[in-house]
Formats: sequence, C-alpha cells, structure tokens
Amino acid sequence: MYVRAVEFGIFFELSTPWWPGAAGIERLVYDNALEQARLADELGFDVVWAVEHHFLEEYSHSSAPELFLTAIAATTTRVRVGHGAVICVPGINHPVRVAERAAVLDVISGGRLEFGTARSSTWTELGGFGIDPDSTKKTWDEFVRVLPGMWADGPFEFDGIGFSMPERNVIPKPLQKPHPPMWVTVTSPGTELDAADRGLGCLGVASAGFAEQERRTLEYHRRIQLCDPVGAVNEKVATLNYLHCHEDRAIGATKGLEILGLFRTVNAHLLSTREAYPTRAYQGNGLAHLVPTRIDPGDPGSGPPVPEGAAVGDPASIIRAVKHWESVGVDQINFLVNANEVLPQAEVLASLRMFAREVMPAFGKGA
Amino acid sequence: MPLTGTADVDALAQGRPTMPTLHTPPLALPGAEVVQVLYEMRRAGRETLVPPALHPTNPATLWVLAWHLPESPYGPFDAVHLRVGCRSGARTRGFVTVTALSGSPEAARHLADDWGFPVRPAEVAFGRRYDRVTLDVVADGRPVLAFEGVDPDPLGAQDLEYTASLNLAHTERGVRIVQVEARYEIHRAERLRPRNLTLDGAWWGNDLLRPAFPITASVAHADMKIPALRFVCRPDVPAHEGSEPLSTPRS
Repeated sequence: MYVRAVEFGIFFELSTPWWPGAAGIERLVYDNALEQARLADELGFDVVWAVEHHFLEEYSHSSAPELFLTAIAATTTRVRVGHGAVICVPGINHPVRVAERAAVLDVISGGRLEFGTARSSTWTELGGFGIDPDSTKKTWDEFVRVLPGMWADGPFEFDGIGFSMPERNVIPKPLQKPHPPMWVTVTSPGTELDAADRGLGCLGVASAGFAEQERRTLEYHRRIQLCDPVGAVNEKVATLNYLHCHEDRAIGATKGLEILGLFRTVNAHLLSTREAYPTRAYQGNGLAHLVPTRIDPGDPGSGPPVPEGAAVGDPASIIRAVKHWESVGVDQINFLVNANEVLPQAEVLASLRMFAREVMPAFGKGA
Repeated sequence: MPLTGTADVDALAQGRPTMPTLHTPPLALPGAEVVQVLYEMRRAGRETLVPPALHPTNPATLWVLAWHLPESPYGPFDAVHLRVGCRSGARTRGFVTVTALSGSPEAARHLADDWGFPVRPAEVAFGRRYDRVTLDVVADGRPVLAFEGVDPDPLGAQDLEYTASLNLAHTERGVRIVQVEARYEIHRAERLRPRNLTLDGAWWGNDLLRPAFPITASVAHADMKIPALRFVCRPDVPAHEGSEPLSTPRS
C-alpha cells in the first residue's frame, strides 16, 4: 500500500456574492483570501491553490490566479503556491505565456510553485472564448508535453496541432529543477488515468467517496509505474474537501453545510460543456464539488447532504475523516473554507486555527 | 446573490393547462426523431422568464426540443417545445414556455391534460436532407419558428443529454411545476451546426425569447418513454423548500 504523510491545503475559488452595483465586494473577497493564505502559512498548511476560471459569476472570480498567487508568494515564506489549474487551451492561454508566468511565480516564491493543468469544463468559459470543445483534450495533451521543454535550459521549438513555434528561449526558467511539480485537474472518472499515463499528479476536485477514491487511487499508482512521463514524475493524489472546524460538532457541521450548499447552488447556475455541447471530449459535468451521497438525481428538493468524508464538525470527527482519506491513499487534502462569504471572516480564521491546533498534530503537522 | 426567477406566478399561470390528475400512466413513443437546438439568449431579463422556484443558467439559454412521432396512442404527431434553460435546486431543467403541436388533436389534449405541456396548435414541419435538418413552425398563418442545422456529425448515444421539462400547470395541489422526465433510448445520434434559428418570441410566450448566439444542435432517432410523474414543485419558493414527491401509482 502506498502511504505518505497527508498534506493540507486551501483551495481558493474566490467565489463572490455578486449583484449589480456590488462595489467593493470583490476587494473584500480577495482581501479575506489573502489573509487566510497568510494565516495558512503561519499555521503550517502545506499549499494554497488558486483556480483559473472566466465568466463564472459568483462561483469563481479567480480569472487571474497568477496575480493573486504572486501576492501570496510575496507575503508568505513557507506555504507552497498552487497555480491550478491553469486552463491549457491556446485560445485562452498561449503555452509560452503559461510557461513564462509559471516560471516567474516559481522564481518570486523561491521555488514554491505547484503547477496544475486543466482544459475548462463549462460552456460558459469555452463559449466565451470561442473554443471548440472537441479540441481541448488534444491541446491540453500538447501543453503538458511542451511545458517541461520550455522550462528546460536552452531554446525550444515545436510543430503541433494547437500551436507551433520556431526556436526561441522561453525565459525565465523556474527555480525548481527540472521544473515545478505538475498536476492535472481530475473531475471526470478516467482522467486520473490520463494523469498517470503522463506522470502527472492527480489534482482531484470532485470526490467520489472513500471506496471509489481508493479504487481510483490504486489504479492511478499501478498505472503511473508504467507511465511515459512528460517531465519529472509527480506521483501524488490530492482531493477536495470542505472545512469547518468548531469545538461543537453540530455547529461545525452546520457551518460547513452552509459553505457546501451555497457553493453547490452557484455551481448549478453554470452551463457545463457536457450539458450544452454533445461531444466525446467531455464525459463528465465536473466543476469543483463533492459528489453528494446517494440521493435521487431526479429530486429537485434534495438539499446538500453531508458528503462522505467532509471535514466539517469538531476536531475529533475531522481527524476521523482525514484518517479515512489517508487510508485510501490520498496524499493531499485541499479545503474550501468559505463560499460567497457566507461565513464571516472571523469564523473562517477561527476554524483554520482550531484545525491547526487540534487536527494537524494528529498527522505530524502544524507550525 | 444567487440568481432566482422573478416571474409573477399568477400571470404565468394564466392559460396554463389544468391537469385532472398527477398520476398519469407512462406513455411509450417509439420511433421518434428528436431535434434539440441550443442558443444563448441575452441576459437582460432572464430571471423574469422563470418562476421563483427556478433559476436561469449563466449564460442564459434557450432550448428548442422537437419531437417527430410517427407512432403514439393518439396517432402520429409533431411537437416543438420552447424551453428556458434553468435549474430546479441544483438540477438541470428546461422550463417550457409553449409547446407547438400538430397532427393529432387527441395528442394535444393528452399532452396538456396528462403532462401539463402548454400546447398551442400549429403546423410543424421536419425536413431531413443529406447535409441538413430543418424545422419550421407556422401558426396563425405566419412562421413562428424556423431552424436549419447543417453538417451532421455522428455521435455516440451516450454523448447526447436531454434534460427534464418543467411545465407550469393547474393541479389538484394548486399551481405547480410539473417535472416531466422523458427517457430516450437512442439508436442514432448526430450533432448539427446550427446555422439559423429565427422565432417569434411573443408567440412563444415572451418577447425576450430571442436567440442571440448559437451553441449546438442535434438530431437523434430514439424510442421515447414518458414515465409516471415523480415530482411537482411549488412555483413560488425554491425547489429545496417546495419540492413535492408524488407517490408511485399502482399499476
């Protein structure tokens, strides 16, 4: 069995309560997130991730994560900065610009960059940029194969499907050698195999429950042993979770469900590619979420159930959940700690402090 | 704040069907030709198109769902549903504004009485050529919808998704949103490039129903079944508060 000390991260979607004339709210969301990241650094969290999304009102106002992460890198010293996932579609990000921005972030952070890749799963985004959904898997594959080459010493040239370029030296080079750890966002079942085949870390943003996660993780680790790596192998499995830690289990669970319920509602507004555009290239509807426990998918009245393994409640219940995730091979658990500012910042910070004080030591972690 | 519908329920309910019962037996509709067309709409006013129980999509979407049915218990008929893309709770749905129906007055009556579809009589014409599919609806002596999708591209059956329709209707429980979960056993599916969609929004229920940007279209050959109703929903409160499961009818 593959076992490694579990890592803890915060996953920033920068979801934002939004209405016409909501001046100042985005500033508040960003300020609060930056404060959470600084506290995470002090408390001994391992990583903070920031997603890239476009046009996803309320769900995620994180359209320039490299800037947000630069601010974090400049005000922290230990926590790793997760640029993830970058949308690896040439019509949204040219691969050279992706390589350049990531390298700068690695340099500024002193070699603390984790680099996630994705291809966008909503028509809201792809349609906005005029992207053909049929093409994104091909171009993502091209991206992950060329980026290590661009980050390597010396010039790079490429003749591909999504883009081509003559010989140029892409600069600067990242501080980490041969390059920062690379990941792929996994929403649909099967993408973990794409990750394994390429030697990429598995950045799960949709949890499948303990049994399914264990099955997928075992298959991932089996398969990555046979991989044809695109660069340095990153054999880690991360999963997404919700966090609200409170001394009173019921209060912790209730607050956690507030985060989950609101995040799920704003998620539902969006138009997934799978729903809008029939294509073999999108087999899942995934955006970041925890798959609900078994409920009738036809029932519009079904509210947010407590997903299996959600880190909401008191420290003891959260320790149990984390140990379970650890036991099924998860290396890193990334937490959503608020959604649309439904919880006051003071409660979010208190939850993080209690988690660090009461939960992290059970896993040999903490400042 | 999260989007929600703002349509006035009383106004929306005027002229909607009255369903004698919510316990309609399942309906089999074999050999159907199903055309689905998806366009973006302008966002202005999108929340006014659906009742408070529902919330529109981002971006706002307009769905045309057309059934060419050579066989049914009521004889052959054609139906075109215009739907606003929406969510009921977290579930993907299409709120039906009008169903244009031709070919069988008995089918028109049953679709309204049994399932709550807001049926209006019309002349519906499907056209299929080698490289295109057309759909035309004429009502009150004038065209109210015309569509052309070109360059059919074969798909796997599992690549197509159809969402449940929501019909506002007068029921034994009062005005309710009736969830119709039609099932499609797909035998052949093709994606189409939507080239033209024109429609008369006012005829279909609201001037705001105007296609603004094409997304996609599809045509499928399928055996359809409309199972017994399982859920209705109060139109005036969010679905997680107003959803009402129906007891399974004894057959």
